[in-house]
Amino acid sequence: MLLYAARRLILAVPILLGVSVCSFLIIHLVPGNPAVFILGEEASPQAIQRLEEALGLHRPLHLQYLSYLARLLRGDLGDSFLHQRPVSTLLLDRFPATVELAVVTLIVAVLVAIPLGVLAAIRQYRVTDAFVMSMATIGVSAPFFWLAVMLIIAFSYNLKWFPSAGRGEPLLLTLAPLLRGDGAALWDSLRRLVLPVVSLAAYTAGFLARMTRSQFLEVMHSDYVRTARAKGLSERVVLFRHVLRNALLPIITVLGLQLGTLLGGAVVTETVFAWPGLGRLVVQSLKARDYPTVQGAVLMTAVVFTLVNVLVDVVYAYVNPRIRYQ
Amino acid sequence: MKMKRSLSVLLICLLSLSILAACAGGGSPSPGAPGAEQPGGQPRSGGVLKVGIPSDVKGLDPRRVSGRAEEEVWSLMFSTLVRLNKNMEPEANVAKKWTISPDGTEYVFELNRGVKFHNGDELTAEDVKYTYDQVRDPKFGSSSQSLFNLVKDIQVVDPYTVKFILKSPYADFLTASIAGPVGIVPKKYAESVGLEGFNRAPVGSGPFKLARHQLGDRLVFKAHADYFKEGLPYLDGVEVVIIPEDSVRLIALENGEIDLIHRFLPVNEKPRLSNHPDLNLSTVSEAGVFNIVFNLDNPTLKDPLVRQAISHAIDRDGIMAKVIREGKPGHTAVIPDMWAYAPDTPRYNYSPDEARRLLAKAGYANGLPDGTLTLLGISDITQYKNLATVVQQQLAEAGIPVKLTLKEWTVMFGEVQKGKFDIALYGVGGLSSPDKALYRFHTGDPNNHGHYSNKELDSLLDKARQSSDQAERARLYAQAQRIIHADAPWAFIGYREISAAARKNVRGYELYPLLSWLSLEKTWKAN
Repeated sequence: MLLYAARRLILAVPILLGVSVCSFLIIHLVPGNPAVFILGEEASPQAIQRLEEALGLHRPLHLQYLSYLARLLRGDLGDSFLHQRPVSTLLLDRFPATVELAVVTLIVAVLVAIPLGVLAAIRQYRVTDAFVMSMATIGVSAPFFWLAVMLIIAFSYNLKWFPSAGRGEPLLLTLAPLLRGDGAALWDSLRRLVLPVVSLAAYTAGFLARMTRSQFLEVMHSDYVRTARAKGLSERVVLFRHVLRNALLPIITVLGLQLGTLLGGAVVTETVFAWPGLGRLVVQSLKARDYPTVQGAVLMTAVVFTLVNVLVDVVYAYVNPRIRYQ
Repeated sequence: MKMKRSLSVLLICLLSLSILAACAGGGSPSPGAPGAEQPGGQPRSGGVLKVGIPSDVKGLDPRRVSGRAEEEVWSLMFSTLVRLNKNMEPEANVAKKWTISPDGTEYVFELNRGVKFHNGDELTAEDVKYTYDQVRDPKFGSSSQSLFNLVKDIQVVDPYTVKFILKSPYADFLTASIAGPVGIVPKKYAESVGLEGFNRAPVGSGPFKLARHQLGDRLVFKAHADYFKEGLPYLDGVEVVIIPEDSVRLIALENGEIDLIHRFLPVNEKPRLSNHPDLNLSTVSEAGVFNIVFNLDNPTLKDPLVRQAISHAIDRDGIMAKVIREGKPGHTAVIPDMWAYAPDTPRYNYSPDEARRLLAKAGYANGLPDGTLTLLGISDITQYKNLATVVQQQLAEAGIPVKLTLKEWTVMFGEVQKGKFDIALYGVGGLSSPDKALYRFHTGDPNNHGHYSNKELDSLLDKARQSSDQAERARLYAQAQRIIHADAPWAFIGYREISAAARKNVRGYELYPLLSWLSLEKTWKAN
């Protein structure tokens, strides 16, 4: 298993190299001049030219890439053109906000979707099934932007239950004050998480609920389930030990893919809710033609995605003893 | 049957969500907020003012970059020798007084004593010299370098007196260069931390000092305890909160999560905001214009008749009333609130027939052929995108079909600067003086993107720049505006306006045509 994981990680290196080339080429070939954005409309052509030279943009593209690669191999993602800080610092600064949103979204989606998917399967063709599948359809179909704004209007503007935008203190940092008896920071952070998480989790939960239901139904009619029932096992044992456990296997893979996607940054959600995550950083950097930051963020997303995929494979093999990786 | 049941449930769910969202009664007034406007009251100290902006600033060092949003934030942290009041006139600030030599080439500023930077160092003439020597040095690469092009030398006369010696007289030196946007930085600190260090941890002498910059999230400022104006600022701090979506930012204001939105108010919300029980809406003419620039290197646009025809084809009144929905129609680069504005400058009235007549005179009896000209506009700012679309339509109706190309602002402006355009539509701001507004029409000026040249105009602008007699300058600028009208190197569309919406308990905040955040030193919160 460890060998398998190590081999997968080594094989990811050429993939990441390809990602770095593609992201470099694409961002450099998009029209626009970072120096114009940074200096503003009042800058003289000479000042713009000077900045281009300082940023190395006047050099041929292949030389720029080679310099970038040389730095990358030393673990240096370069400095942001816009913020004049190391890109790694910027990414690590914003990544926790994205992780927080992604992890909480996934937990909420799983806690909501799987029980509801199971319920819908057990009560197939009844009102419960229709209701759950309708909600799942809404979750999957509703555009992120529309849902986010609707939630803000309903729950922030009209009902005033939750703030409309912004992140509170990182959740982990609110635990220390909580232990001292001060739960205000935790409460604020949780309130600010609700609407962005609901808007993101709606899609994931909808997707998961539908998948759970269909997997559950498929497994419910398997021979070994029939055998379990024939053996006289209670319906509860049949459903939860035999059916659910097998039905969840493909869902693990899907969860992994979803986590990878969420960790790349939910751009629309982060923009609407002013959540200071990676997705928004990438969009702002794209607008400003902040090449090092865009490249760094794309590479980081690729790395995270690869790691999550390897982890999912390992977990899958652990859960399903029939799987043996060569 | 089962399908119908699912569909019914789906519809019920959709309806519930829509009803919840649709019950938008404008929210209820927040507890404690006054129901009626209370304009006055005694300023009281304390409180933090939260201001919502759409995007983070590009940099915190005023010496390097430029931008409207950046200038507002810098005005919290940095001070200038003089500053502009709401009538765009210079008033004393770090400099308590100044003298100008009779020939207009020497400006001597006497500084207030005891002006402290945020790190406790005293602001002296050395800091002034250090700051502006860097900015005016072409090798430094400041985007404000052109503001100090005419400075020959800066001398420290004594620790509290500094002299600027100009290469030639420049009557708008105070308003255009000294009054901002570049504030004074502490020499010792700046040299010790370097450029990157300063950008991360800037130190100025303004009313607020930066406590924390969470990139992409917020900038937190605390009151400068040793600010040189006694009793100010009233506020304990200012928090600049970044909320990218216009509608969400507005909801945050109406909910009381933030206290002020300056600029970037959705124009269709203004009627509702002006009657809002919890908010005050204010509006002022901005020192900026919407304009079309013609590239005079283009053989078709070389002919003034074509440019005049285009100018006649634009319905300025209609555009400002129905497309921009704020501001006023414009016909010159000098804004109406400025002393040099010449109200009797001729105007191009909206007349497609006159446009066709001029085109015929220019040899285009059937209008311009398709594909002759391209109109370059901005795609990522809705106001400009709409403007470009409407202008294209109006030109087509007058026999001037243009191909519309919309590009992101950075791309578009890059092409304008390189002269890669036929007709460009954008806006110009920061027009704090008639020289700033009109010198861009001077031959060879870096902002003369259309490469327009008129020797008579050049002579007028040079004379006006150097004269200290305001009446004489007004006469020269009036003449200049008439020449610009006749030659039509630009087609002016309108004068911009800015608005701000603030919670009713925010007092003392004033809108200026430029740098409104200067008034935050006198802003206070009633509750």
